[in-house]
Amino acid sequence: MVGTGGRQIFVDILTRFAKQSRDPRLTPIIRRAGAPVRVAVHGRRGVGRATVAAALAGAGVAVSDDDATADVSVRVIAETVKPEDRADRPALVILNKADLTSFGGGGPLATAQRRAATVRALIDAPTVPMVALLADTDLDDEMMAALQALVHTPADLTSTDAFVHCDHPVTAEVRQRLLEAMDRFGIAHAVLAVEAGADAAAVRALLRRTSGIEEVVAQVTAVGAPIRYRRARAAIDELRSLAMRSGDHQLADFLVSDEMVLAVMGAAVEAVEADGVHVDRSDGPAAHRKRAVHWRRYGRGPVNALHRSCSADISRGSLRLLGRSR
Amino acid sequence: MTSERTDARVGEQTDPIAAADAVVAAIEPGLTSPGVQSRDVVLVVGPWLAGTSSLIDALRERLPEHTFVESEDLNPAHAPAAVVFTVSAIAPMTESDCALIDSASRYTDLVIGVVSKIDAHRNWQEVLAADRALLTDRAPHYAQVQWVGAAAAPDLGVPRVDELVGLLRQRLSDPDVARRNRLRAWETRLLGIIAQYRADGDGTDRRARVSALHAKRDDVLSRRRLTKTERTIALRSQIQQARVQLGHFARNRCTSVRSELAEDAAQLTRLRIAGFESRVRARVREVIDEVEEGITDQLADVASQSKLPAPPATAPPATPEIPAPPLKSRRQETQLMMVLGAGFGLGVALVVTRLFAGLAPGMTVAGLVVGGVVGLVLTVWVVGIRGLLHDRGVLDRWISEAVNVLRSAVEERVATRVLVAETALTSELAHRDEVEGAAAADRVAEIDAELRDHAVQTAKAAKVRDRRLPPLLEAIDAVRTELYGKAPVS
Repeated sequence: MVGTGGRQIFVDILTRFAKQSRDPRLTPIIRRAGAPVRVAVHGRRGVGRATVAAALAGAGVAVSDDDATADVSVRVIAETVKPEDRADRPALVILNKADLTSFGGGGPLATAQRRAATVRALIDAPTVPMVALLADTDLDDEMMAALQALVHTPADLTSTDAFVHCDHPVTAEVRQRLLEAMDRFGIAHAVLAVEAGADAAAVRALLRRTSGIEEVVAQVTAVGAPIRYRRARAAIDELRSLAMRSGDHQLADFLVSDEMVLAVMGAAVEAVEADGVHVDRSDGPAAHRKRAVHWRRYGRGPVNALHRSCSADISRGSLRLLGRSR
Repeated sequence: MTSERTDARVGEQTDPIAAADAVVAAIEPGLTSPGVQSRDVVLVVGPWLAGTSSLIDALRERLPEHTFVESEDLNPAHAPAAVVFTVSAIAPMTESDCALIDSASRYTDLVIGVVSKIDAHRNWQEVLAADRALLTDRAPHYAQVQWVGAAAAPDLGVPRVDELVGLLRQRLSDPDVARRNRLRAWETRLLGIIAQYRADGDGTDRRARVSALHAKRDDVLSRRRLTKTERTIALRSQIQQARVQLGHFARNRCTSVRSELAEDAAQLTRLRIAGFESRVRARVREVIDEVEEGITDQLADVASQSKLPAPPATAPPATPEIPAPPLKSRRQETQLMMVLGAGFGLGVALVVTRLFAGLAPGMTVAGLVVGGVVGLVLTVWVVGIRGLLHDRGVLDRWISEAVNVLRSAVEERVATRVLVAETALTSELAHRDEVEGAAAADRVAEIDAELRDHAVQTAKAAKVRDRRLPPLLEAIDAVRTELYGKAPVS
């Protein structure tokens, strides 16, 4: 019940209030608070940096080419970590080309998951596997027809060269296009889907699910949570100073309303969860009281300024929920 | 000259290593060996997860007549016959991979680049081309590296190492390999020697030491100046402070003694008046001793704070001359008092006698006697009290005088002793400065000597470099001509 998408809720209620009050001074503050977290994608040559950046942009992440304006740095690696990958301290590591990891036990993706855990231990940054190639597969009729043909006449998939050069009714050019579009791993999955009766859209959706883009976007959102929380706090500070200077009682009341306190709590919950701290999201007076007490105590402990501020917001929100439930 | 060496090589075809050594020995006879030992093994090396282990397994199976080793199995002083450098086909090589191949191919000319895992990577040929271009740009000797793709342990299908195996077999059977490897070892060795000479000649190795010495020299001199000034100022201020404090202490002591003695004098009885003078003199002596002790302590403190020996002891202080109180010289006053007292007593006697005669006329005689006695007693008392008060007053004035004498004596003592101590401490400080200055000068001279030595050594090394470098450069050109056909620009 402790809200997800804290920033969105925060910006939404702020926008609603601004519409009601018709106060033009709120517009720049809302714009700053609602600005997307910009992500810079780095990576050495040949690891698929551009593909990952395109996939992230396609999934709605604000990808920035300019390091200076980026809020979060993401590093793309493939197969292994080179000393070059450790130069900067990335917020997130994406282990791309997960489909090309050796089969091991449980297939390439399972091996890639294990490899990601190793990389996480080496670089000390959250690491997620991804197959960026499959995030936005472009499937035309010719390719669908080729996939249909492959269902009936399987091609040699032992290697990429064998797939293109073996004897097969589908022309080598089309096979080359298939390989460029989805590689062996994607072709195998697509053929199985087509065999089960899937159309182009279903195959695309399947490949997108397989690409791991959702997990990557979730991770990118998570590492951006502290930034969104800071922006929300900065917006509240600005609004408070605005309310005091202009003597706007309506705005001052709005800032301490349940709605606002709970929205900030949501952002705070996401910010601490991004650092791996668990927040009990259960409902009910007992849970609210327990959460309020726990986070009050947490904030007094040896934690950094961000967590101290977050814990105060979580505690405050929990007390409001407790008060409301009575 | 090249043709001569080629002739020599043809002549010594039986020993390719001697032929390679002869290329260098012809120019630089002092150099006999590149300092590595050739071993008939193939080194398979590559970065983490490049597939080195599977490749080595496949090669051992396919080429049992050759020994394949990984880098940890090879002594650094051993030169492998061939180096198989593996990189994954997933992405082009990075700088760290290049550093790895640099280190692996130090003593070996026969290097084969392998792009592994080509079963899984559809663009392995592009990666291979990129790797080849990267290495060629990196150093001239990499231009001859041959690149092949391989899949030693594919997940599906059969291993694809035929091309690599064929290439290795062909290259290893080349009789010229040993000579070329030896020449490559020579190239590395000569480059190392040349770099060493150049570094010695430029004083690169000494630069850190020389700059450290310069810094130390400046440090010694500046610290010396600073310490001297600091110490002088500190001593001067401490002595000034001691002067003020001691003066204050002495005056305070005198004031308190003055008030203490004045109080005593105000309560003197006739019996104790005789001993009072000696008591005052004893107190004066005590105060002088106390102040003396205070001066000694304070000056010892000053000396110890400046880490100097305590100033020498001086002669004990003299007791100031204080004249005796003028208690005896009051004859006129006594006579006057006697007259006045007698008058007063007579009056009292008359009054008492008349009182008795008025009250009881029968007791006139007794009244006369009583009146006489009372008058006499009162006369004696009045004269005595007046004398005592006078003595007290005299003593009080005398005490003031005595304390004044005492104060000027202790102030003089303070001034004298502080002055003596200042002279002693300053001269001691000057002496110490001189000693330390001499030590610092010695240190600076030592540093200067070492700096001169470094400069001389660097100049010598530069001379050696200028003498030794031309034949070495010629030798390396010869080696490179043998290896790559034409001498590349170094």
